[in-house]
Parts: sequence; structure tokens; C-alpha cells
Amino acid sequence: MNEGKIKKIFAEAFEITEEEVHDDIEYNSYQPWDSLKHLQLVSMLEEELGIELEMDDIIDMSSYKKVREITLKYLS
Amino acid sequence: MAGNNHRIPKFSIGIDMEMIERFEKLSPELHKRQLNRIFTPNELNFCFSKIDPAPCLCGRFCAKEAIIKAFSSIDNSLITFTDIEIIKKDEKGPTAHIIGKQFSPDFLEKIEIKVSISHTAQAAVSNALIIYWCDL
Repeated sequence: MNEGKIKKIFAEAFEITEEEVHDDIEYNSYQPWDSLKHLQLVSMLEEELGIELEMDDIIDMSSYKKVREITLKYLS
Repeated sequence: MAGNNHRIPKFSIGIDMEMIERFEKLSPELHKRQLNRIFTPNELNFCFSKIDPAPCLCGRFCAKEAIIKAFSSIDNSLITFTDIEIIKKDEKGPTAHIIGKQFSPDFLEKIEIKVSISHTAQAAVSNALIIYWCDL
């Protein structure tokens, strides 16, 4: 259930459909994913899931797969 | 900077550009968390005192990005957006200060930052020069 929420937030942040969200979307190669978008994504995850991400984890979120894994850690 | 007779300068530059429209929908009420991750309270007060805050926010964002890029080749420490404050006190242009508590006074005393910000109707751009005075 939490994985679905994370995917929904990620899709909202990048204005794409949930079907378009996949593990190999990466910060370095996905053009819309820049530093400003990264901060928007982090803020949306925190607000919508009621968590506060550590800076090291925010920096470590280099792909959708990592975003999902790191965020789930805060929800477990 | 005083007392640099026994020091040599190490230079580093950074640049960033961003579209102003990406800051147009940000409001202090609805996007508080996102804004607080990027800007200091002084910067937010300054930019939101303007009729159109977006160019001000965008320019400061670019300046911080440019400084972070320049800083990466000077020091391995993690520096974030809110560790940097961009202030405009007079018509001479903006000045940048590192305010992050993790940086020692000894380290900060060796750092000089020069920053320049420019706008068109659509975009803002900034470049930063960091001078790090290394002890001989």
C-alpha cells in the first residue's frame, strides 16, 4: 500500500502517469529530474506521508528505486 | 581579506540557470516546506516583500546552486541551500555568506564568495566565484 502511495506522489511530482514510473528512472539521466524538482519531490513525500527525511537520504535518492526503498524505511 | 600574505588563493567557479515560471506558483503558505529547504527566513522575507517574488526567488536559487557547484571542488563537506544566504544590502549587488553551523570560523575566514545574478523576463542566471585562501 505504501509503495503505491510513493509511486503516486512521484508521478504527481513529475506530472506523469503511474504507469510511466519505473525503477530505472534516474536523477542523472531523466531530464525533468533536476535539483529543484528533487526538492519538490522531497517536500511532497514529507508532507503527504508525514515523514522528515534526513539530508543523507535525500542526497541518496538517485533513482525511483532508491526513492521507494528509502521512503519505505521511514514508513516501517 | 586581511592577513593573506602567507596564503595562496585557490579559485573555483560555478554557474546555474533556471526558468522563473517554476517559482511563480510557490506561496509561503502552501509550499512552506519546499521554500524552507531552499531559502533562509531573511531571503523569504526579502523576496515575498516584492510585488513579484518569482524572479527574486529564482535568482537566489541559481546563486545558491552556483555556489554549491563551486564549493564542491573546494571542500568535501556537504553544503545545502540553507547553509548559504544571499543578501542584497545596497545597489552594489548581492553578497553571499555561508551560515551553516557545521563550518568553523577558521574555515570561513579563508573563504571569499563573489556572486552575480541576472534575469530576463523568462529566466535567471547566476555565476559564483569562490576564493579559498590556502595556508603556505
